[in-house]
Amino acid sequence: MNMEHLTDEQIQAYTFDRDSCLTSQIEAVTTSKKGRAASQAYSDLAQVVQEIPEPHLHFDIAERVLQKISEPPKRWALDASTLGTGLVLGIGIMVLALSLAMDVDFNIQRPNDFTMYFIVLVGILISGLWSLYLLKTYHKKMTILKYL
Amino acid sequence: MKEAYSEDRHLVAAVLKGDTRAFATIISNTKGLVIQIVYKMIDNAWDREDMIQEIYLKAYHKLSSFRFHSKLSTWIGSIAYNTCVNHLEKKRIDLFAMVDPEGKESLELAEKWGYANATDEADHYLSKKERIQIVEREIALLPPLFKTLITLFHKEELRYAEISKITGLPEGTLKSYLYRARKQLRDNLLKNYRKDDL
Repeated sequence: MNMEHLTDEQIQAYTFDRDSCLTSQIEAVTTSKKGRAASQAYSDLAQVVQEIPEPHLHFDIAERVLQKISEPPKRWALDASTLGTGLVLGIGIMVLALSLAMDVDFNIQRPNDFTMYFIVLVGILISGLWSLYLLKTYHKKMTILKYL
Repeated sequence: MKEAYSEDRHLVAAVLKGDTRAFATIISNTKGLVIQIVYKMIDNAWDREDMIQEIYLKAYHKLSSFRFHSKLSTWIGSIAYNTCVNHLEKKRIDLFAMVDPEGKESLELAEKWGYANATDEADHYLSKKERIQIVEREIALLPPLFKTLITLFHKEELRYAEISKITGLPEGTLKSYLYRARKQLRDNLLKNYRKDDL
């Protein structure tokens, strides 16, 4: 393998991820003057990046944030999707319990029409909410990955 | 790593008990990373300040949901990154959009660099400080995602796994973007400054 066969990606891999390089790739770079020069150029560039001064805030961020905090954080937190599912499930169980209480002849193997419709409705609602959440996540990931 | 996790656990427990000073310590330990992410993702100075406050308030209120699957700094870094991505989405700014160069400062340095190449380098040697300024300037012109990745990898010296947790990008994708980011940075430097040895 000579320099003509080395891609920029391979030179960068040699420079920054040598552990993941094939032996032949390492040999190709080390035996090529151009390859070594290109690798050195990337190393130098990385060195300059490391020396760029870090940005600083002209105010005390801790002080500003603490001023806006009036109470300790909740001991537990729920995200929107869990909360939504919990809410729908809660309402479902409550209504089902009510319908059971009113229907003395309730048979778990042959539920009446109302119970049946309700179970299906709750199922659809939960599936809908999860589908929406998954679609949103998928869309976000795809937006980021579209340039791959 | 275990020590960092242990300190994280201690700090999180203290904050959840209402010790706000512990949260100030968390801010102090993580602000370098958060500032870097926000400064690389967001161009507007006013937005940056609000954003950093918003990130820490979010982290504070969500702290009980932190499960110690990563370092606390990585978790706060991911909040910072996602907050910035949401902000860019609202403003309809592409993560891969190049920044328009304003040019003035860049051109002055470019002339100097070009002059240094065209003439005797011993007389017109570009100082280390100027070299840093040029690279800094060119990084600022890269798309938000690229400049963030370059900074996290080369400046903050984070490992791929940590950057992956912060950005939510798979490691393979992350490496691919980093290759492209470095290449774009180097190509731009060569194009704008005619410097062969960067």
